[in-house]
Amino acid sequence: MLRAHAARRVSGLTTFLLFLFASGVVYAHERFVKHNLRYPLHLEFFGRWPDKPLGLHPDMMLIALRVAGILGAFFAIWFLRRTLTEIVERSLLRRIGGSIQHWGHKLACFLTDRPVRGKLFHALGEWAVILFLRSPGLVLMYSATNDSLVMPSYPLDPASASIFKFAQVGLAILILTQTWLPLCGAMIVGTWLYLFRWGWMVAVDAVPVLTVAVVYCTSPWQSHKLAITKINAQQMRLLRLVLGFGFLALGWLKVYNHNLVAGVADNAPSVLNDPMVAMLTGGHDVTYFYRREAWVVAFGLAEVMSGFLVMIGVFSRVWTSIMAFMFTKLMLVDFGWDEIPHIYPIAAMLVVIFSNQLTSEVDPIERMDEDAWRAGNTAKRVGIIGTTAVVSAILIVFPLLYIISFFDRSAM
Amino acid sequence: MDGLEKVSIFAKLSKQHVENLRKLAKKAKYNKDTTIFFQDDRSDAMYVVISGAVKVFQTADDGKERILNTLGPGEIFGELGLLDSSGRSASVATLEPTEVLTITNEDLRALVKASPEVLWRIVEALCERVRQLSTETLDLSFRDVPYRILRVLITATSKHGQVTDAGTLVSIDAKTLAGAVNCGIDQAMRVLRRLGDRGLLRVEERHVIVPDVPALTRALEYEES
Repeated sequence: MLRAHAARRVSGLTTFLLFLFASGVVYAHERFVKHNLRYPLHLEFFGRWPDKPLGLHPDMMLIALRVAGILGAFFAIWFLRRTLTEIVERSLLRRIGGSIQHWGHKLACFLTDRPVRGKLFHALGEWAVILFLRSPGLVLMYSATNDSLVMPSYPLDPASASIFKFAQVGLAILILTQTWLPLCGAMIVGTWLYLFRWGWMVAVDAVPVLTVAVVYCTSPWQSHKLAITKINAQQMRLLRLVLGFGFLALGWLKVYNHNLVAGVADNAPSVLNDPMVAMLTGGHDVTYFYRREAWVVAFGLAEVMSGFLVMIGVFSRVWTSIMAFMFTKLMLVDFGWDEIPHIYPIAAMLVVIFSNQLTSEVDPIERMDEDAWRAGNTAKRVGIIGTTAVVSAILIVFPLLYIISFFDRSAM
Repeated sequence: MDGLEKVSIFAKLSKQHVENLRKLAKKAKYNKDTTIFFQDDRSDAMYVVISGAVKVFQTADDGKERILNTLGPGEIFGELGLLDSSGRSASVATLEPTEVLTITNEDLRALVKASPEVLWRIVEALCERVRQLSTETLDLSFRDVPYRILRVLITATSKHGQVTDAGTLVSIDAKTLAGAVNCGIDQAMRVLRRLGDRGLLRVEERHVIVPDVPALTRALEYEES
């Protein structure tokens, strides 16, 4: 009875909210960060090269092969991680013993997504959940004072700005007081769906916003009476899936919408200095003819790779740590105050980093591998690990890269 | 001699089987304060304590430790994971320099196939663990902290106490005791001090010396009444 009443209340309020949005919240999607190209890209790099493998430019193919290689290697290491850590722990740490052995074990657990049991880690995990659940409220308050919707990239239409500023402040108050969190989740999902009105790329750009929505939607209605400092395994799985998928989609969007990404780099050249991207592009120097183009593809595919690995739960802590570092750098060094709303995805990443509830989508395959390990069947293990690594690496990188090369994106 | 034939689970094995086992099993020595395996590790071997003492403990997410058991020579640990193929349910660390015998999963299976009696012995050891856990659950529900501490001390004294001129020495400190009986360290220290005032034990750095074990046992009986 109560449930039905609550459901009616949510659907009513969501409809009201969507009706409000239908009047035109955002009058333009402009990247707040400057993205005008200093000089045009060499667009032939992104197009078809009929006489080359898969019709892709050889350098793009090389970057894709490197990404696929790293993906495959991470998969293989994932399945062998227990064997590898056992070798280190037994041959080295056991001989040392004491606190060094304990800290070494904790580090191994952290890197391999196993539970890290410790007072400080536990406290940081609780703090990260508190920050994650409340930071959207701070972001909404900030955007309301900046006449934008959620991010400065979505400026409000002056005609209806005041209504939406109040709506955002209202939602922010609900979030900050942890009142009716499922309703807050529904409102965020509704807002995200409305973004399709401005095109699918706008909505894809905002997918990471849904990470908190799934946690809100799965929270109890009596949330205001609870001190929520933990999220359960199911919520963590949803968070990881949405966060990872968001960055996977954003990565492909970067490859697809190359002009915008290159334009951002032209205006903030420090973003070009990324060790992982440099590794993927093969360390070409500044005189390399397709330097910016290769950077765009490497940047996009690096995001595809990290997003995919977080999505399926392979070294989630390692990848979210790298992503948290990247976003903090973007916020503090590259773009400064304009990117302050990114405190929200950073909070989501911190929740993953300090969680002891991490699971993986490849757990069923790992169980097969474990059975083969127990049976001492090494050939079966090699088959399981090799097939999973190679098939996943190929399927994630090449089909979409191939399809995208058919699209003419010069006018974007 | 490694005393393998004296280990309870292998006591009924023929000389030939014990000899085969001796060839399969590997001996390992560990220093004090060394973790032999951690909670959640993969279970790939079973261990038999040859000399020394180990503690079996679980760690909660917030780092709090609860000691489930202390084991001495002749006792086995790590057998649970071998039977149900799941990860380690608890960690095991040495309380003093310890020598153990390691029998891998594969070797144990081969041994059980040749001598099914071994499996019964392992089942007996598991039954003892279940009984002990039931008693501990009962103690936690109905007994107060001094009683629980006394019980742990007496068990530790009888299992791996070292007889010295000053009395029976047990490698246990207030933190370990607190973990074993699920109370705060301050409370454990208060109880130890009170027992010390009564002359039942002497607390030293990371050691407890019990001058008169029967007197400590009697103290438990008084706590019980």
